[in-house]
Amino acid sequence: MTKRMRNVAISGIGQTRHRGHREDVNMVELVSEAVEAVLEDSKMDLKDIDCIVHGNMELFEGVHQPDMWHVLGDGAYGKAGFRITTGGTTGATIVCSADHLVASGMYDSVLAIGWEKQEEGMTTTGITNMADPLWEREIQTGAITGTHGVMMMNKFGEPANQAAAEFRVLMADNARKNYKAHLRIEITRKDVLASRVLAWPLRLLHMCPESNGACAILFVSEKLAKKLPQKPVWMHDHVTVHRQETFDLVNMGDLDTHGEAARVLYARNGILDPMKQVGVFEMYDPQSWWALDWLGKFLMLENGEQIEMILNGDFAIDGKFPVNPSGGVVSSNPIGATAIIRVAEAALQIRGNAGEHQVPKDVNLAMSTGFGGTFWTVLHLLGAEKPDK
Amino acid sequence: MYTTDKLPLDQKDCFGKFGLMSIPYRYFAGLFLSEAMIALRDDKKILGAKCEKCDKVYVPPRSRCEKDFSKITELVEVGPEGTVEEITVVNYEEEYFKKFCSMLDPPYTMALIKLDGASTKLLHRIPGDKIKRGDRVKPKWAADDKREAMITDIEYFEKV
Amino acid sequence: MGTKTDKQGREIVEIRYEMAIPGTFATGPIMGHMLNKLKDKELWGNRCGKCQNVLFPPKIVCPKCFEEPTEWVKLDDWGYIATFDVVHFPTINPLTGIMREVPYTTLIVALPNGGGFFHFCLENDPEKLAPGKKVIPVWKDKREGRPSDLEGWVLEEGQ
Ligand SMILES: [Zn+2]
Ligand SMILES: [Zn+2]
Repeated sequence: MTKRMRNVAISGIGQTRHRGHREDVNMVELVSEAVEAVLEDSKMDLKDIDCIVHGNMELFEGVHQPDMWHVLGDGAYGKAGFRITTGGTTGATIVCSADHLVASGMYDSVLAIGWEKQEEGMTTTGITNMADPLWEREIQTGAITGTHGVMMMNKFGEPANQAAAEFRVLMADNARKNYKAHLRIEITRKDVLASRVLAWPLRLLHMCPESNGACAILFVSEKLAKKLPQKPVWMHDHVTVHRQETFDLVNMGDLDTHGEAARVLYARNGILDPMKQVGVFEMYDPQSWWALDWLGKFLMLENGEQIEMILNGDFAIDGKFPVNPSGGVVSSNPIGATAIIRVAEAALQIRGNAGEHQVPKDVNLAMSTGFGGTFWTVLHLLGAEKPDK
Repeated sequence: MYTTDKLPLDQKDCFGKFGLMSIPYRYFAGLFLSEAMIALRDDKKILGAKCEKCDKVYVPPRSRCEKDFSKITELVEVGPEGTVEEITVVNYEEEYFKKFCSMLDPPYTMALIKLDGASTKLLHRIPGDKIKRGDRVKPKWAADDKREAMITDIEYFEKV
Repeated sequence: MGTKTDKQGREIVEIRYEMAIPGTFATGPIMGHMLNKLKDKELWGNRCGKCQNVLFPPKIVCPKCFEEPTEWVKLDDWGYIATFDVVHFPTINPLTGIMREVPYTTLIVALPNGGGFFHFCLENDPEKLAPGKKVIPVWKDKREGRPSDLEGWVLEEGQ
């Protein structure tokens, strides 16, 4: 059990419909759509919100300090707040921050907002700037990399290839049930394996899209949660694990941040069998090859058992252990919002009103992750019951 | 130089490597703001956004009122004349900005101008260094074939 | 600069620009030492006195132990493929602003002394490459102390 001054609940969730083109709105207007949605969902008056924490990716829209003018879209006029930008994990780190701010007793209500308008920049070139300019920036190509695919195929052969494609098909099946998702396509395993090669063995359909979207979550104290109409979803724990800054060791048995985060989270929260105790898992899966590997890491499967499970349909919405009922990151990726969308979707599943992509069972615990940089992990645990119960 | 008592280091290994951070961008104004920017180009009109709730008129226009978060849908004409409220005089040339728009020769004045009918101040430029607070100014429009729905469709402001 | 027409036929302001900010990145004495040695076709890392791991590129502290490295280590100039990919999707090299030509292959070389080297592989046929195969560097004639002093890595003969 982690130390927590007081309980923190999610009492409101708002998202835009994530799209490839949103030329009809500017960045501020896009953000305001999610804020309007969270106010509607929570029935909270903006003037009663104490603090606003928001974030997006650096270098994606070419605005140096979006926080300066985002006050308009955030509703942050005259309020406490700050911007957080930690790469792909931005949305997850915003949630950590909002959780801290309420848990500490500093504020009773904190609005967390993640957003991205990716059509305005060049994502891959933006991401490439994270690499050391003296060493790896000339070689690195953002998140478009097939190196994990090679590792998985080398280890598990053709079944890995089939499973990565099958997991992508599952994500598409789920996304078609989620009207907020960006790519709601009907595809088969054959389509995935015949799609254009981006970075062999990574193909177009393995990879996430570039989306425009925003997501806002309202975090409140226990006292305030009781007054608000939505069923509260309780924050249980979060773990962040970083590793060193160069890419060379990623695939060479260096610190496995996902596995380490999971080990810490499970140990602290008495989770002995995650697939039994956790009801649903919203995993940050920017490409299906990563998903294939990371499922094993988060779920502590040492011998590639996830390959068989994918091919069995165990991760489907009505399967043994539902993963990404929302359609995941390969279906929608407004990057600064992506990790907070994972938390929002996990919370919706606990609330039981996710809509058509609701899992057909009561969810007591849900996990979500954020991923970014040279393998950084943020792992969240949410629950239907208060953590101290 | 970074030092350590454990590893031999040499000053000649400290040097700099030049590199750019080069990324292409595009920025969308959105439907609401586009209408006002197109009015600069087509009608030589400056439009502000009027909040129905608090009557504040934002120039440049915003589709959200920063104070009450209400959605703004009404555009009203402001100016074209206005009053200089704050100034600073620019005495140098910045090569980088020339890539994006035509620049005035220094010295020129950067001014916050409150256009008649607006609640907020618009940042723009005025030739020369003789401008004072309180001066009345009017826009100098770019030629018809030079306007492109940008704030620089007003080349600069000048004394009335 | 200008406007575009959206799918509904509405005119929308769209501003296009390229941000190209010049910068000079300081090497510091440790990274600089390694880069300077590339001019002599040599790979140099440093060793953590505590865990004895060789760090490449060399670092000011061992990321695992947070201890200052204690000695310079000249690395053997060959390695094994740890993993690779063949890139067909062109992206801009932000350091130059120039679009990269595809296809090209990147690889991570596991160096025998320890550490790894993320670089280009000059073989673009994935069927010929596999983790575990031995590779050697190809040096450029003109070297100026940067990673691109290596053209890339090739399979050792017989691999
Ligand atoms: Zn107002
Ligand atoms: Zn060490």
